[in-house]
Amino acid sequence: MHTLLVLIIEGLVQGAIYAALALALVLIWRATKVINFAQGAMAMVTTYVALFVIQLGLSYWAAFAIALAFGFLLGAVVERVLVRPVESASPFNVVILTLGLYLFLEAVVPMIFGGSIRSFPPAFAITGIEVGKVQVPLSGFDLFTFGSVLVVVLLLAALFQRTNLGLRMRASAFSPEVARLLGIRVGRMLTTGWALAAVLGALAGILIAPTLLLQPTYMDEVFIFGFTGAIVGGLDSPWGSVVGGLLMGLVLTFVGYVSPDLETLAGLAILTAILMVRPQGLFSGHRERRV
Amino acid sequence: MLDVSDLTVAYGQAVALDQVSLTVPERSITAVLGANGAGKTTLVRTISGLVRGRGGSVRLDGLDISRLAPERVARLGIAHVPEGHGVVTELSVEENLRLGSMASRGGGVRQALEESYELFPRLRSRRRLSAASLSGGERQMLAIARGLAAHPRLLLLDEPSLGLAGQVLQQIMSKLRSLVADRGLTVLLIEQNARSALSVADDAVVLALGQVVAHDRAAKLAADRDLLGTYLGF
Repeated sequence: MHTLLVLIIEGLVQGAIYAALALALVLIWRATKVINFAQGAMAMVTTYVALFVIQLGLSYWAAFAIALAFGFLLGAVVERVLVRPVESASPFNVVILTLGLYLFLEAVVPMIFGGSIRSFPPAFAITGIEVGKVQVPLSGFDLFTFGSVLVVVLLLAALFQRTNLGLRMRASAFSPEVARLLGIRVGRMLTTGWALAAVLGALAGILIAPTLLLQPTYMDEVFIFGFTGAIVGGLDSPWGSVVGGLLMGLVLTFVGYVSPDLETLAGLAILTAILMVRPQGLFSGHRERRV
Repeated sequence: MLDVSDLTVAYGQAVALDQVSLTVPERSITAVLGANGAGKTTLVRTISGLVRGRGGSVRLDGLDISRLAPERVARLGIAHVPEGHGVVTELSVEENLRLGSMASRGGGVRQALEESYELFPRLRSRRRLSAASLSGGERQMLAIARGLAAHPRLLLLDEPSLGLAGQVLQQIMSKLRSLVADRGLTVLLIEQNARSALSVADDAVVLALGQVVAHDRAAKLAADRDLLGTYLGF
C-alpha cells in the first residue's frame, strides 16, 4: 500500500513535468501546425543559463525567473528569425529546421558550458515531509514541482480563455486569414505562442534537472515522453496534453518500478500503440490528423 | 471614398482582374455583379490586402492602400466579410463577435455585442454555442454581425445571400440601408444574386472575365435588359 502511494506521487510529479513539455508542443502545434523537435533542447539551454546564474552567486529564485524569461525570449527569437522565413513553404521545412536547431543547440552548449555532467540544485529539500512522526513520501520539491506546473498551466488557461490577447491568439491559430481581416497581427500572435511554449519548456527543464543531472542531452528522453503525452492527449487539445503528460508519468513510474531499463522502451511502446490504434489521441476533437 | 484604378491582378499566368477601375462613393451601397469567375471575389480580396495587385492602385480617401497588409487595411476601418466560411468555427458565437469589436475604432465591446444581438436576435440565444453548431444561414448572420461590430467605414460583403433565406436577406439589406443613412456606412456588395443586389444598391458595377463592362446607377442597370441578359443570365 505504501509502495503504491509512493509510486502514484512520484508518477504525478514526473507527469507534471511531461505535461508542461506536452503542453508546450501543443501550443506550437496549434499555432504553427508543426512539432518543435528542438523544444527539449531549448529547455536544456535555459537550464544551463539558470545554472550559470546560480554559479554567479545569485539565488535559485533569481535563476528560476531568469530561465523562464530567457525561455520566453528564446522562443520568440526562434520563431521570428528561424521559423518565420520558411513558414510559408511546406511544414516539413519547419520540422527539419527544428531538428537542425536541436542538433545545433546540443552541439553548441558543450562548447560554451562544457560537456561534463553537472548537478543542479532543487528549490526545496528532496526528502519526505514529516507530518507528526510519520514521514510521508512527498518532498517539498515534489510539491513545488507539481504546484508550479499547475499554476503555470492555470495561468495559461486563463490567458487563453479570459483575455483579449488569448482570444486573438486562438483566432490566429484557428483561422489566420480571418484573424488578419479583423486587424489582428497574426505574426505577433505566433511569436507570442512560441515564446509561451518555450517558457513551459524552460519550467520543465529546470524542474527535472535536479533528478536527471544536467548534461547537453539530458532533455532528450523528457522530450520523447512529453511528445508521447501530447500525442496521447491529441495534439490539438491543451487539456488532453496535460492529462496525457500525467498519464505518461504514472505509467512510466510503474514500469520503472518493475525495471528501470524498461522505461524508455515503454515510452516508445505507448507512442507506437497510440499512433497505430488511435492516432488522433484520446481527447482530440478532430477525427483525423496528418503529421 | 474608395477609388480603384487600373487594378490588375494575376494568379501566375491567369489574369483575374484586367485594369479594373471603379469608385465607391461615401454613404452609399455599390454592388459588384458578375458570373462565377468574373473576378468579384478577387476584387474584394485585393482591396482588403489578402491579394496583391500586379498594377494599378486602391485608394481610401486618397491614401494608397494597395501595398498594405490586411491587418493594416482592417485598422483603417475596412471590414471584409469573406465569402462562405468567414466565422471561426472553433470559437463561440460571442467570441467571434468580440473579435470583430476589437477591430473597432471606438465603442465598447458590450455595446457592439448588444448591437449585434439586436440585429440578429437568433445569435443572442446561441451566443455561448460554438460557431460550428450554427446553420449556414446563422453563420452568415454571424459573419455580417462581426463585420459590423468593428464599426467600419467601409464594409466589403462577399456573397451575403449565400445560404440565407430570402426573408432574412431582405431584413439584412434593409438594415444595411439604415446603417448607410444613420451611421454613414459605405458598402461594397459582391453578389451573384443580381436582382436582390440591384434592388438595394445605389450604384452597380458589372464584371465579366476580369473587366468592367458596366458601371452606372443601379436603377439604370436594372432596366437594361440587354446587359442583364448578356452578363447576368436573366
